[in-house]
Amino acid sequence: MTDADHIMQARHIFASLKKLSMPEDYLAIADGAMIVGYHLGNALLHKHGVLAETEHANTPSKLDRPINALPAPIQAAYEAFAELEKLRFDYVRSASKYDARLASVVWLHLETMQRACRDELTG
Amino acid sequence: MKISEHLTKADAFERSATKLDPTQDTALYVVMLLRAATNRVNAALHVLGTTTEGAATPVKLGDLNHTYKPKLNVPVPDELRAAFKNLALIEDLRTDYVRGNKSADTALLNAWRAAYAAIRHDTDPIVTREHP
Repeated sequence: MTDADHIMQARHIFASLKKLSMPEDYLAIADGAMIVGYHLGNALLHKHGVLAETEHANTPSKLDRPINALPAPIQAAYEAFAELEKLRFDYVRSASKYDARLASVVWLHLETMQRACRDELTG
Repeated sequence: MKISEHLTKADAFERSATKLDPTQDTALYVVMLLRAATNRVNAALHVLGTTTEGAATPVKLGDLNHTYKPKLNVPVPDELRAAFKNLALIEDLRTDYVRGNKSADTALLNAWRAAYAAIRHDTDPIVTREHP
């Protein structure tokens, strides 16, 4: 998929995510945010030539390099993506209960990633 | 995770899935099916003693993230063979429908729902058993 395809798909899944609500859907939102992050993250990797359009990185932990070795303009987005991955581990893949912190940080991390993509598009 | 936690999570993902339109929200819908199904299979594996709900050991694995990860170090129990096959079917949807951007028609969505229903059919009787 091209960077534009990934951004379009991220928007689409983000709209799906907005049909859900905290606290009752906190697991689904924490998990779904990772999928939006996947598309935004890969859009940035393609845009900066880190990965070809035929390749993809599922998660920050599966990247072939540390975040501080990525191009500077996308490091903040990847830090946010890494936080989303940690939230998935803590809430979805571990015993968990909803806490109010989750509600704000998920959307904040996604906004950081969306901003990075917007900056790329608007130059 | 504890068996009860897996079942609580499976129920929560199922409830969230009902708020989505599978035709419009296909990617997220697939993820909900996948998580609910994985939690149900994990709970069943714990009840059968194939894996442990406690801390994993070199002999006995804990939770599986997927049918293949971590790879089970013992045979899949006969009672769960079909559930593993159906879970693998749902896992395989990720490439095209979650990480890709394909859309699904009614026939496909019905096939996915059937795979999930079959997982419930196979795991429900197991997870309601008394277990150690």
